[in-house]
Amino acid sequence: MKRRPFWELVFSLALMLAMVVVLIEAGKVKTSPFDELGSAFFPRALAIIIVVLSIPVFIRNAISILRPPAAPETGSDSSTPALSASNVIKTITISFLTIAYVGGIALRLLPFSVLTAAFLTFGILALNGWKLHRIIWIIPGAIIFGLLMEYMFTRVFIMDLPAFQVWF
Amino acid sequence: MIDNIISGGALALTGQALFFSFLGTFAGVFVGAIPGLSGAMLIALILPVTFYMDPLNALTLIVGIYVGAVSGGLISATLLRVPGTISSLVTTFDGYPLAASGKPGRALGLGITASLFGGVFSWLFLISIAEPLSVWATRFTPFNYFCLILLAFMLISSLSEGNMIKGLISAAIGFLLALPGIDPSSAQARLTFGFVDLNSGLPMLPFFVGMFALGTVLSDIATTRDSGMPGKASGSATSGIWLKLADHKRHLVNNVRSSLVGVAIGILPGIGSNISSFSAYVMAKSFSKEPEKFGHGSEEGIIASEASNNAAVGGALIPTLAIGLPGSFVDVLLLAAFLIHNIQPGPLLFTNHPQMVYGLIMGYLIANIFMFLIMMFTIRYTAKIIHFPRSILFSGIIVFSTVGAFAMDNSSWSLWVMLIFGFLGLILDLLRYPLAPFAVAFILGPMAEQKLRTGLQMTAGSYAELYTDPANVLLLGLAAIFLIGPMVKEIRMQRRSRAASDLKKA
Repeated sequence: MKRRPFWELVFSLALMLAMVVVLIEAGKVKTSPFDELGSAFFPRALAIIIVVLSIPVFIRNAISILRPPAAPETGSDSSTPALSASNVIKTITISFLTIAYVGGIALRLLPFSVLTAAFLTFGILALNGWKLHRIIWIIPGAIIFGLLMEYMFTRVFIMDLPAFQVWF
Repeated sequence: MIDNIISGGALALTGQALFFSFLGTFAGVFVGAIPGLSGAMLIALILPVTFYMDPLNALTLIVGIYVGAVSGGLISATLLRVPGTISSLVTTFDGYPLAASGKPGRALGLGITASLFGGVFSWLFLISIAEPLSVWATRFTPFNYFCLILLAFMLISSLSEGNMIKGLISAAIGFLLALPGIDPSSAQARLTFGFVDLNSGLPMLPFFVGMFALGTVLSDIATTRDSGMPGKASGSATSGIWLKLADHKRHLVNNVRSSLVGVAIGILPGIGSNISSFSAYVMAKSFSKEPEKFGHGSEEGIIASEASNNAAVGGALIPTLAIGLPGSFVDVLLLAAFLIHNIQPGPLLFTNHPQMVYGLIMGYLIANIFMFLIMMFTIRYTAKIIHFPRSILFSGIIVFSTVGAFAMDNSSWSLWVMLIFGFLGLILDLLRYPLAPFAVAFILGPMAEQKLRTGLQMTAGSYAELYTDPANVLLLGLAAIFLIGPMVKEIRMQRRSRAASDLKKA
């Protein structure tokens, strides 16, 4: 049950850099004499607020990294769930599968039913720790589910998903 | 008002509305019972579907899910010591010990009955306060609104997760992400970075589906323990589930007190049922004749937690419907449903759509009754659904999230937005940046900006009303207290822990 000072530090730093970009982009907005605040006021103000608030987060985590506390820390952050190696691997795998699945649909690479069946098969297997003996029921289940979903969303709800009949 | 209540009630009692209310409550109970899934996640998934529905049916469906999910969390909290939803965390303190002592039916019966009591109690407040509050709210000036929203930001940032700075950062990011696009006041594009797709701003539905469905699933995968559930109570889940009249009499005061706490905390903008259950639990313990039993299967503890978290749902609906300020995190999604149907939430809701609002309020009562009946009669089966394989659930949710994000406008841009916000939700969740301020600010941020700019136009650029109007002074004062209070508390805690460590060294 530990905080993640390194990643918090990286995130606060990334946030500050992103706000610099926002400030530059907000600077391009023209001001109007009839508008007291102008369109750029809130973007600028919020970017500055985020930078100001990120500084203590950055400093606190930098101190934690340079001088790790001897005793376990108290406070709300102590409730941060621990990440096990297997969970990290599962999350990364599912993240990549999700990107591939969403990308496949967005770029219309394959029919929705095929992408869904593939995603479900690999997703369920990955979350089960690649227990391959379960593939006997996972593959047929995923194919049936994929076809049913494609029929429902493209024929009943008339959504413009990449459909099977277009490809074959 | 009476006429509107009757006609709204008639609308809520039509076959379709009853069906969607039942469906929503049923789905909510099951989702709430499964640890890792939440009502907010299901509502985010269902939002795109509601686009095709009649507004009242859509809203009763959402309210049904909301009520069902808050109540369903007690099942796994009692039987497994794993809260199905965050609002049922306190129920684990006494629900599980009582269930483990061989009385799971009794523990569930107390929780379900208290949930019904809290829900109906808060409904009485909702139906009697909401419209008068909305009439009063029509007198609000734009500056009043701006100050009220500012107060809501401070409240939710300071109380949502306990880390004030992260809460504020989260709110500021949510606010900032609501700003890209053509500014409606000046017709100028801002923060679009040259992307034409950003001219109309970030699409709301993919944003919510990404943050609360995809992001939550990824976060759950990352943090779910491999070792399985911490406990499992033995015994029949139905034995002793129906309480006797003497039980109702004995627990009446606790029920009323806890429900009052729930309503009072629920009314505060942005604060949900999780804080109310903690507060009611602490209060019940301090009033109890047997405080030593708390944490060891106290019936009073279960009632305090469940009555208050359900009462908070009704309490939270009061500012949502009357002023257009979400009373809780899930109410943000309810407001999104209003906007999808081109219904502007706020004080004029009762004037412009009285039948629909009262239909929704009556739908809330009906959902509570359905919740009670569903949980009482299906507990034998619901108790088994909590063991449903996560691998299938999580993969299925990602599929439905993708379709849901695509459904609104059939564009791949929505899919990318959903994906980006899914990963942002995961990062924020893992680094303990609360998501509630983020969502509230995304919805209320543009309203705050618009109110301040309108106010300044009305006063020819003068800010004087902000410090001369007593209402504004009060609201800003409260906002300052909620901003400074937690910081002072944190500094004191740090000093104490430093002093303690110095003492140890000495």
